[in-house]
Amino acid sequence: MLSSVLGVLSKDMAIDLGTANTLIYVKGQGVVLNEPSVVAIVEIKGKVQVLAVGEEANRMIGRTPGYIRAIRPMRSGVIADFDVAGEMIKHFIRKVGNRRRFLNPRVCISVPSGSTPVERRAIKEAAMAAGARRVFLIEEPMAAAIGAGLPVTEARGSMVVDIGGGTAEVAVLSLGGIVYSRSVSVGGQLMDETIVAYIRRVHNMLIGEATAERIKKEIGSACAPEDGNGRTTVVKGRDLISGVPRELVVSEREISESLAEPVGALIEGVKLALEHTPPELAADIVDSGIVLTGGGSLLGNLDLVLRAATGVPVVIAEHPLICGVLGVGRALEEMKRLGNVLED
Amino acid sequence: MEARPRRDIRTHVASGRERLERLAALVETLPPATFTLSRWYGQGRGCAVGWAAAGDPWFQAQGLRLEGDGSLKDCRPVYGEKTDWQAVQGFFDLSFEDVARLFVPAAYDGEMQPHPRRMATRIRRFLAASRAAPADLPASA
Repeated sequence: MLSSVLGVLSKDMAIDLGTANTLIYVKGQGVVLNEPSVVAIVEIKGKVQVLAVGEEANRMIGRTPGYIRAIRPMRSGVIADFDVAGEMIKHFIRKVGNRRRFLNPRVCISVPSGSTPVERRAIKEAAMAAGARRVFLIEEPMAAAIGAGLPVTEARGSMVVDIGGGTAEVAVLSLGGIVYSRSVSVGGQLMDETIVAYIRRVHNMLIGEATAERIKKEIGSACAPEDGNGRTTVVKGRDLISGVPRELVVSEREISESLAEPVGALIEGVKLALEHTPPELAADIVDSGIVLTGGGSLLGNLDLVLRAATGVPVVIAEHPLICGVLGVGRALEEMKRLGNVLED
Repeated sequence: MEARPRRDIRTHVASGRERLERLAALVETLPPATFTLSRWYGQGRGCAVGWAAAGDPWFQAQGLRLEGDGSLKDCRPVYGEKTDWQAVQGFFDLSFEDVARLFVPAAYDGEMQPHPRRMATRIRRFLAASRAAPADLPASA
């Protein structure tokens, strides 16, 4: 009885805890927070204190004095720093959960499918400490599939490839469960780093990760253009010989070549998942296709390359960037139908 | 027998030419799948200089090392105070033009993954064509 009264007074929260960004969805309001998963910490007399979280901390990266560190508590899809991750979750929940409007909400958080029980408990404890009434967990590929509108509870195979900032999760789902999942160490950040390394080695120029990300978004492609060098973009950075800033024009062909390796690893991951899929479910996937979600799915021509490599239709979800958090939110809202995909 | 103090043990300082010969020998042992011209070194792949600096004790004893190898974007070869292509120039005692002739993708028809043997052959041809240079004098850091 008390629980149902509290349920009316509080608003449930869905959290997608990503390597690059953390998103929070509140029922009736949509996505209310989308901030970088970054925490700036300061060490005073040996004691660590949180200085800034999210957007504010992200602006500090590369600009901090020695005693301040801007760190990403999530790395390659797993929690690299439990304490800092906990502080970040607390900060975000409190930021969204204006105390006058929220009365101890229920919180559902997506976790990488490969996360350990210790990591899961740490996330739960952090959410409870931030004032959550009850905390549910949901595996990321499941959340992405629900967010993409796949029939995860039906006796029908669905395949989702969720390409996030740190990793790509490839999963086959049926009857509300994950039949097969595989985490591939390829994400948006690795693609950015690959571009930085390429420009450094081939053009002798140092660029930042933000510039690399812009290049990827503007002319990034999973395959080389059929004719010529394709689109081009101007890149500014520091010349490693003269030490002064300079400009450079890079082409789509060059960037596609630099990204060939992460794209190849992704294709291998998908092929392996298909090989391990039970035949009946594989037949369903041939009909319904592979669904791409996450920011990495927006890499140019990735769907075409995957289709050519696997022979299976590939589609990009309608809202690939927020699929994960939408799925977490839907699972929380439709508890009766989707309750079995949540971990209490 | 009395052990010699560490300061008395001297490393043979090879010439730029000898270092290039060693590099050609190293490159042809690399599996093609681990060879790329798109980065110095990282994620189990690298270019000739990257592999020499990352895992070959002879090159490391000559003063070539790899810095930032925990991160793909920061990884670079270092020789003395010099990094990246300047380190390559200094270590092998080459001009920038010669470095470009041997190690950049343009020298291999823009290919990012030429066969390692192709690079080894190119280095040996370069050495044969330039008997006098690079100088047989010890390279300085």
